Amino acid sequence: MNVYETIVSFITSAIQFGTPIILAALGGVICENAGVVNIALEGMMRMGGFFAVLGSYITARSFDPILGGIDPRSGNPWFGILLAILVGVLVGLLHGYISITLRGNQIVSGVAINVFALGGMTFFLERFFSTTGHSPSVASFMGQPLIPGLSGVPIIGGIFGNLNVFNWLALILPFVIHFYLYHTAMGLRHRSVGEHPKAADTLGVNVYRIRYIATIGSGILAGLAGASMSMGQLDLFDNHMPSGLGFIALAAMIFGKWTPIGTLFASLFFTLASVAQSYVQSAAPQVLKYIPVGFWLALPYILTIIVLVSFVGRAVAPAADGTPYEKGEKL
Amino acid sequence: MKIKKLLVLLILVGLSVSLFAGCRQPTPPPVEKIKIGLCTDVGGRGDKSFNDSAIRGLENWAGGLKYVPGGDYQTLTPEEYQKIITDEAPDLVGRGIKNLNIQPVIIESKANEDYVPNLKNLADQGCKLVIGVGFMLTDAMKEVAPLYPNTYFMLIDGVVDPLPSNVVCYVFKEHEGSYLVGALAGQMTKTNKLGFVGGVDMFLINRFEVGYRAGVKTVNPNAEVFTAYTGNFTNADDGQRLAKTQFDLGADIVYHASGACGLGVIKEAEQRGEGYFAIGVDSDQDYIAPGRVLTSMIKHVDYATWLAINSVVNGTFKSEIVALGLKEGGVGISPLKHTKSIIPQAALDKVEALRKMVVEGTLVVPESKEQLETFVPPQL
Repeated sequence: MNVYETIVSFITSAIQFGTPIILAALGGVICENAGVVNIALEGMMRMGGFFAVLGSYITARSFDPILGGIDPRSGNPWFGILLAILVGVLVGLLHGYISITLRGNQIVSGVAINVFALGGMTFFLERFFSTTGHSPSVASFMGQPLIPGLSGVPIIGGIFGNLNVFNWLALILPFVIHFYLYHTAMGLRHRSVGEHPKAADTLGVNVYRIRYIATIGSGILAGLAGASMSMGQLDLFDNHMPSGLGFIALAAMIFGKWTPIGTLFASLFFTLASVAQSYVQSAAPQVLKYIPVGFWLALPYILTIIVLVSFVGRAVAPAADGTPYEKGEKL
Repeated sequence: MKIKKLLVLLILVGLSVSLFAGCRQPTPPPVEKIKIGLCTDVGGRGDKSFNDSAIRGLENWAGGLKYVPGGDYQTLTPEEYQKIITDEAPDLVGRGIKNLNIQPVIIESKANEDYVPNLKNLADQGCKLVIGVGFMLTDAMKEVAPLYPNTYFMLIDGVVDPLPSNVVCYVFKEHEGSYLVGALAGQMTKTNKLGFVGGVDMFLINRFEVGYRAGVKTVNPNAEVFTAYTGNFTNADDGQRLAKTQFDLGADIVYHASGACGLGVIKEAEQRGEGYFAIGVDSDQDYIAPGRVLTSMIKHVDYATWLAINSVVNGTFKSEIVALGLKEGGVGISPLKHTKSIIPQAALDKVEALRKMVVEGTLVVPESKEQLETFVPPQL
């Protein structure tokens, strides 16, 4: 492996395995910038991951003579994405209804969604696929580059030629959301609702509406993050998904100081540390004699802590983050 | 007046009791079958791995029954029974597996806290043998078994220490099965580089790695084996990342012993397509990516289950730790349903020759890293 191949391998791994973290963390950014805490990312990812597979599965129509039934790989993966988005909207609405309209505790609502997703998706997995392990393989975006023509381009071809639709979303959306939050009037309102809802309200901003938009957007992004795991990296839903990535995404969001681009780099940094760990284990086993495997497995977390305390400085959440807003409430 | 009230009360009671007269349990079958209980771990029925395999050994092989979704059983015809054995375990044909006519009772555990009550429940129901599937039930077994001295217990893939007099533990010689897949992978590699992705870096999983390395060393001393551990058994993402790294480093076959992380390993090989292979573990995983899974190292949990039930039915139960290897039929390689056509016969013959040597005892497969260093590959 030469230097170029090594660099390509590192970068493609970082993008491929960073994608679910980036998308979910962006969901967190949108939500918390409007003042609603969202620890339900994990559960939303799980639901998105399952329903993406289900969507692709139920659109399968062609008959497979060997299986003696419908070939699950003949469905339409775009319908899977659609279903994941739809479920994201519904869960976002639920989280919004509890924490905005009912002014409930946002942490409790988030935990409830996580717990429901854990048991509920196991139930659906058993109901639709009669297994508690993993679903059958369905039509997906796994190994399907969005722009396959790019792989012929020199230098960048190796990196961008193999990216699927989710990878592109993860690379582009941070900038789109950055533009929205910091360069549009709507984005300014969005952030003002998270910082000082009372002031925003007196200036005629509809606090509730913006917060609803934020929770729904967050549900969509987290749903897409789940879909990127079950339909982008793999082509099936495994019952262990997303095994904690939703919480890592929350950490990446804080690491990125609640900004979209900061979150992108935080997620990539975290993933790169994991990739580096994979390389050390596989290619330099002699190092493990001096520094045990356990240390390398903890490396991404250790590096995050070091960077967080030394370079990033104080991570300040939006001022009204986590507090429900009541119209006409006395300050 | 008082007597009248009492009379009314009596009549009322009598009437309400007669209401339930029709609700007796349906009459039990004429021949009382031996009840065998099985408690799954949190994977439950349908995990397509350990639990399903144990349930298969109990219901299909020992019970001669077929599970119908909804909780009913159908009796298998002798032809169906024979077909199930030859389809699912062609390597075990000729080992005398037969219908033992027992009645299975299965309880699925939903959480780790369920193991103790579930095991107790099965023993209370009068099961003659209670089976615990997976090493996660070790502590529960240790706690429950001494409370029921008249019930036999079986633990799969774990060891209770000290061993109570009514418990039998079945473990597997994974290094022997891994040795064979290593020997096959060593012959099939084009790049002379191979990969191994393990779950948690501990003695049990090291056995897979050591056996695999020994197999590769035997057939292809020049090949390099990359090794990495994910640190868990649940995150497919971690397995996929390690597999991608190893494929990028030049490996063309990656063997995994990492539970659900292995899905990522297999799918990474599938994405790369032609020329790349994964090797599955525990159950026959060849179907997950047909043609891209070279083979799978199978642990015959079903056979271990049947063996234990057989010993109870025949009255030969002994409290001991049974290690099933190639010789005993406890481990083996998958029937190569999708890859047989691309593997040269010479390679298969070599694997078969090595298998014979292990079975005959002329070749001892190393199981620890220290033994691997002093391992002298046999001459073929």
